[in-house]
Amino acid sequence: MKKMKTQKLYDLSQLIEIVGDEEGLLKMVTIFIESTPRTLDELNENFRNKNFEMVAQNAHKMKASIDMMRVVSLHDMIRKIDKLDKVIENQAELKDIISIVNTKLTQVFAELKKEFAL
Amino acid sequence: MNPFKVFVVEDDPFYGEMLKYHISLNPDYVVEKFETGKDFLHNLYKNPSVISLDYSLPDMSGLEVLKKVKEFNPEIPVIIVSGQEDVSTAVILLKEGAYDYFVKDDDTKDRIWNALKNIREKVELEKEIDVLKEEIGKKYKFGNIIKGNSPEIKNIFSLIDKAIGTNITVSIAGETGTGKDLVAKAIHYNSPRAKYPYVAINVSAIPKDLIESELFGSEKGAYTGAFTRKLGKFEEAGKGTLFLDEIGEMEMNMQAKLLRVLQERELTRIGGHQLVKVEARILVATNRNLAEEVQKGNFRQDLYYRLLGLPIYLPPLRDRGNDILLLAKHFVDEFCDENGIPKKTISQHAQEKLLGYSYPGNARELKAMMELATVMSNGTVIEETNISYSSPNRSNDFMLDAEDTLVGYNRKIIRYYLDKYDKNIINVAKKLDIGKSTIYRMMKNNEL
Repeated sequence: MKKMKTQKLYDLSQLIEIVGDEEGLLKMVTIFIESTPRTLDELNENFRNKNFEMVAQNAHKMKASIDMMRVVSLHDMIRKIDKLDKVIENQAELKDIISIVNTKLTQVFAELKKEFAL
Repeated sequence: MNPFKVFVVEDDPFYGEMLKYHISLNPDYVVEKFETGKDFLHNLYKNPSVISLDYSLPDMSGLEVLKKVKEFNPEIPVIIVSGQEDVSTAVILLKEGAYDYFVKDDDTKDRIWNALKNIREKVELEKEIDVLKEEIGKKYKFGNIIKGNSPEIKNIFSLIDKAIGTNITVSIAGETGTGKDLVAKAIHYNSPRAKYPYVAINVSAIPKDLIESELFGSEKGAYTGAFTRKLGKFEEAGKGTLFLDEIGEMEMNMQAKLLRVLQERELTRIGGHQLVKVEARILVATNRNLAEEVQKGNFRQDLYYRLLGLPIYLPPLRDRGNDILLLAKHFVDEFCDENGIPKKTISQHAQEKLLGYSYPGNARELKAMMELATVMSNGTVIEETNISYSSPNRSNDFMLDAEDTLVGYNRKIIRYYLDKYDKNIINVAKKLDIGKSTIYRMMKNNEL
């Protein structure tokens, strides 16, 4: 159990491969923890207003970043939201998924802030 | 060299920055990043070399942005980078002129990297082609192709000018070495067709069995050994110019086929059924008198009139007076430039010697003579002794030579004509109204 708790929700190996140095990595992580929460807030707001088309668009926007940060646990969920139709049949399921995305991403932001002392 | 500007249009700041980082790994690329379609379009005036465009932008769709880019400059390649895995979206975008469509996944950055590399190579090749085309154009400017101040040459310039302004077929006549091919090139490279191909074919150099497939092309399997479809010269020339050199040598049955193609403005490849449109401009050249050939029944009258168009006659060098000296100086200067040797002048005696020769090989012969004279001269002046005629027997001043017997004169005359007509025995026999067997016999007996 202890081991599970210490396992990171993200994996920066792909990002390191691209940016190469510490400075670049710090810049990219900073952009991630500044821009992604804003999109997440927009997604929550749009969900509250039942503007599902925008919810899908917000998820679409976050999808590539989440993949790049290798947040594997959200890989399928963010795609489910991205592929929403305008008419949502099961809002309860969507609510659950969005809730999990919020929890996980909040955790990711916190862990990153801690790791990079931001 | 202008920098290779890459514009990244991506609404997700994180993903956009990642792309910027990755693309900037190549120090030759200058990357600018935009998060909205509006912001990007405001900066489009900077004319980027290539655009990486996210399909889903907050204010506009990728399709709208793509259309605006194509309106601004259809030449800018646009790579669509999208989270959409929908094939129909990709097809629409590619139809609208997108260079490529990549779905955002782990390989996207590598795909973009390769696409940028390919685009850059293509852009550089296109630039190189433009430069080369411009250089060829300069090379074939009037003044650079035919040197001379004689009234005959000035008249030719005015005819070339007329040929450039229209699509009229041009027939160029003149002895060998007078520069018929250069006139053809000058017409092409100074005309609006210069951006299209210039294709030249020497009819006399192609075996008669092959001429049809060379001109009209052939389908796979049309004849033994036709393993692939082959495009003919008409198709190769496209909207450019097709130069048919030595048209007078074409056989009668081929003349009929050519006439049909020129009349219908379409052809069928050998072994094919599909009609191919003929859009090339036609220029022809001959060293024969085609009107005479028509009278003798060697050339079709209908084809003659179809090809005559604007006739340009290039006078032989011996009739161009002081142009000989002007050209001689030009060939010497050109040779010195090409070989990095100091410029040389031509002495008075050497000039007199040059003016006293008949030049059966025309400018081509003079060029060879002057190059040799430049090599042979030791100082900065080309002397009379440095100039040797390509063939001493070529002088047509037979009567001015020391007295000779009738047999001796006969030999000289036949030698002169053989040189003048490129050792074409049949032609020489006709010109001198003697039997060809006489010439063969004299050659066999080493009398010539």
